[in-house]
Amino acid sequence: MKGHMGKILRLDLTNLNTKEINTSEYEEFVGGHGLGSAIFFDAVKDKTISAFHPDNVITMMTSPLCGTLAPATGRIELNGISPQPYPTEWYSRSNFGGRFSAMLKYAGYDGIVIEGKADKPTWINIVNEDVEFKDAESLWGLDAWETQEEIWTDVSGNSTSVDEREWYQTERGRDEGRTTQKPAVATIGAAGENKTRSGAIIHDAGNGAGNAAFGSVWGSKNLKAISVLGTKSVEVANPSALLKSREWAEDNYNNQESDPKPNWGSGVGAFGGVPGAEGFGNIAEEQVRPQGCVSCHRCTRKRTESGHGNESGCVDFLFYDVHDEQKHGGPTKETAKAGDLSQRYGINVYFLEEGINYLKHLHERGILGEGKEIEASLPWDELGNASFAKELIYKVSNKEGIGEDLAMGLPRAAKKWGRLEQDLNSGLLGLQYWGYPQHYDARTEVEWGYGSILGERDINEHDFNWVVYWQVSLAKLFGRNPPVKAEKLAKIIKDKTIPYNAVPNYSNEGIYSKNMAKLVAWHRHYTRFWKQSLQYCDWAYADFLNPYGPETRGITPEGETRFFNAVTGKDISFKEGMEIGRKIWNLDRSIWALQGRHRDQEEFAGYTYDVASWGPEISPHANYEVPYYMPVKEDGEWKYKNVASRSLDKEKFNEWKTKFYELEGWNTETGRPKRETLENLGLGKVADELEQKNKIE
Amino acid sequence: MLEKDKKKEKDFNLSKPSEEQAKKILSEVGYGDKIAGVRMHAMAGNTKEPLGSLREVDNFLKAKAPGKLIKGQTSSVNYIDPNALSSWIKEVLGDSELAKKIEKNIDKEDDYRKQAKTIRKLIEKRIKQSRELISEN
Amino acid sequence: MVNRRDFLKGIAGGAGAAVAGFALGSLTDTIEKAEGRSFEEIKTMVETPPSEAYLLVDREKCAGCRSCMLACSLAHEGKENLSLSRIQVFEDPLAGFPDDLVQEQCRQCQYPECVAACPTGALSVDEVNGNVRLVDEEKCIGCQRCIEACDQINNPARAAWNHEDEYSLKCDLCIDTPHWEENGGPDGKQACVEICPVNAIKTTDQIPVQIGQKGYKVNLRGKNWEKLGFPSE
Repeated sequence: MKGHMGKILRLDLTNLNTKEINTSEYEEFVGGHGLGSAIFFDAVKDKTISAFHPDNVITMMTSPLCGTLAPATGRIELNGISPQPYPTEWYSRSNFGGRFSAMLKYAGYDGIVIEGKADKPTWINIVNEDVEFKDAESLWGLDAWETQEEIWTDVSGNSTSVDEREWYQTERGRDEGRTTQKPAVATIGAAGENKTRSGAIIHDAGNGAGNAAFGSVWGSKNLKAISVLGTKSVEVANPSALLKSREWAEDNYNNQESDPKPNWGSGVGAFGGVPGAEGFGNIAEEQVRPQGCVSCHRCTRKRTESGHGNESGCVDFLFYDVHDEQKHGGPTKETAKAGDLSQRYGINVYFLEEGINYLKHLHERGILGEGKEIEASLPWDELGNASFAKELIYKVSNKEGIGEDLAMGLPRAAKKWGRLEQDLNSGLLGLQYWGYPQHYDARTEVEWGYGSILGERDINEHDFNWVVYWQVSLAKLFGRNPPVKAEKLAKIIKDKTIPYNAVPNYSNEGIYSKNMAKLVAWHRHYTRFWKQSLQYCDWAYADFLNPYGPETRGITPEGETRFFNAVTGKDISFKEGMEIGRKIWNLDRSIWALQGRHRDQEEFAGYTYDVASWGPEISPHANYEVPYYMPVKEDGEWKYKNVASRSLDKEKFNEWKTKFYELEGWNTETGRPKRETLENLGLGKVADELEQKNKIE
Repeated sequence: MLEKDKKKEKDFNLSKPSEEQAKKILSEVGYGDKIAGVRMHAMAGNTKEPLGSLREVDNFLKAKAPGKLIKGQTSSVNYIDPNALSSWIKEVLGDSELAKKIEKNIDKEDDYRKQAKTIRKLIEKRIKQSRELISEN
Repeated sequence: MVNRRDFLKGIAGGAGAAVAGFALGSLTDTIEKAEGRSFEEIKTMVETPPSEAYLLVDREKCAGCRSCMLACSLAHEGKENLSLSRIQVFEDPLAGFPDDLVQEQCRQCQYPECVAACPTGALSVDEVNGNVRLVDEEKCIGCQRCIEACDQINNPARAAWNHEDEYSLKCDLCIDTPHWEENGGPDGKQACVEICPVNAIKTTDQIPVQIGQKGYKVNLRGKNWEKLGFPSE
């Protein structure tokens, strides 16, 4: 398929040798997650091994779109067994943006498969077809930014400053190709080196794959970094169609600087938006620029005058800004500096966000501290300054003091302290699904929670989130009308969720309906293919409502197919893409079944059923609900309604699960895929392995 | 001053507290008596922050002033339920007058941005008043 | 041919008394550290008719997404390759704004060393198409003298080597874009300008100041940019 480079690189760290896979062998899985799951399935014979077992395999897969002008396709997908989920270390996923994905393709590869374990610290240098295993003794212990600077200089033989810009690789001869680009380096910091359960993989200043702790798996394999530099071309089937589609998308679905339109009260939105909307930067009154991954049309991140907070966004600074604000009366550079530390140490910021809140509760309750039930020495007076973040991050990353427990991750630490069950039941510890911090609430915005518990992690997919919750709730809070009426939103979503055509009914009945099963199935299949396999970015797709779009309609599903077909020369419909997504989702589901997944495990943390609203009950005055307006259909009428203060009914949720399994063609007793379902998807081989392991009925 | 403005000004009038009241108004309350603030964020979801003093409440509301959001440059709102706040001020800080003023004023506003602005104006006034009183004596 | 007066106009940039007045005083200041050639060097060179359009970039506006490079490579070569782009974006992700990024585009020099260095006439001034300096791929013999010549005055060279199809490539302002259905050239559209999502590239028909960077690296930020919270000064 055009867009593919044709080869996938296998790195055997145990024997320090490389092999190649022809991408065409796995072409039906197209790219990213699909390729990763298919290769993982074949490469890891025993799926029940632990994340840190040398036989665990981490795949890093691009897509046919990466490195092309298809908008917002600058990410790379990572798969493997993750040390983060609780209680089982599920096969999981994560991804990161920047330049790495594009550069890997320019080096000639569609992906990398990391296998085995090196006997000493190692980094990999890839320059086109030259792949070298290098000694990383001198890099081990350096932080993620220092490591990259060392490697940039090593590979380019040049200063890293843009003032000394040059064409590199001239010594390789002119026919090899030259580049002005720095090598793209993915690396780990101390949190990964020391095998905490929160180690991220970091690239450039602020790209990270954090929420699966694959950085720690790298650490367990003695893999410090992978550097790629390439000068090859990505073949595009229909270049003029790609250029035309890109212009069409920018003209019709994105903000125009010359004619800015109201942004619906939010810097976010899906495909269309203003540059720099989401990065840290001018909240601390600094001069900044917007910054984007390769091919981005939105460029939502920032770089700052001081360099603090460069490229960081979202939770990279939100894990600390509240504490900074409380300390200083407003956001300061301390938040950005804390964000920098998370990048340098390569530590998952979702862990830090929930971790700091939880530790603070325990500290204020007199449970955690010096000489307390949970012994911990942390500089609480410094909370809000970067120095507190540094102390905590350092301790966790190096497993010192309280960090030794915290390095196991929050659920395992709380379990050791004998607090897990009670704190999950009260909601004091907000880990809603598989030990992951509650991101969006399963009680109100069910598609987020359901998707997470049916999967293996916090889904972190905002497809519905913007339009069903955020834009609506914000408008309501501020006394404005939501962008469109509930009925119109429902119609748009119904039109665009091909082929299930689900409606966003979040009423008390709607959340347990067959329609909601269709909506969640659409979401699982859509993200597995269009986003996680093609690497369409979560900050741009799916695009249901768009302030700039024709009649406020978003680019989905037309955009996704148009760019894909232009690059690959295929002529697939959106529905056909959804079917590939369903196949990949079933493959993942089979891997989890082999790891021991059963429907009985698919239950939320206790507070989800027992505590209304967002808990916990800190004090009587903390027990109120934040407005959560969502579309509902009641008595035949669509409207937006505040659904806060709702808890899930466990019995009804389990009835809903049965509906979902039926829809997916899974056994309703066990939640495992049926042979027939797998065979119809061309996954007969997978069914055989399930049968062999007694995981099929 | 216009009649309308005079009336408006009156809505924000707060009588001088006693020294004892002022101390309580400025105090930091214990864990079990805290009020919660909710940091709402478009991408990160909602997180809760226990707040133990009027100063912390003011900081919290000030930090993510909802007005900023309209520019499309930030997507966070710091939210405190106005009714929960007034009952906390009354029951925990013992300041019924401030609580009543907040209740009265927020009733007139139909959106949270305006409510938060009104609340801050009253709280800041009370903090200033109480601080002056304590430093005088 | 360009006369002496036009030449001075060219190195000063644009037209009009205000700019001309700025020219010499400011030039002597910049000669020492300037990229490109000195005033003295330029005086000895062969004059060619000035290009009728120039690409300008804004280093403080660029968002580093490389979309311009992808568009350039795609429109001209029909494939995606940063090494085949005529415009290049350099980044140091760890540095502070604005020193973290710089774009380098072909300057369509008024006194083009690349043209002078080409032994076959492959690199020439296209008088039919607005005097754009461009490569005739058929005539290019791959001696790379154009690249070396450009490298002497520009950091780095704006002419580059297409290592896959073996010819020199340089910016033609999109006169010859077989893979893009738009009319390019000085009077037409340029793929990088059209695709840039933040409007950090534009063309001008005014000859930019030839010495140093200032003529080509300009401020393309306006009121609407400032409204988004970015610096416009």
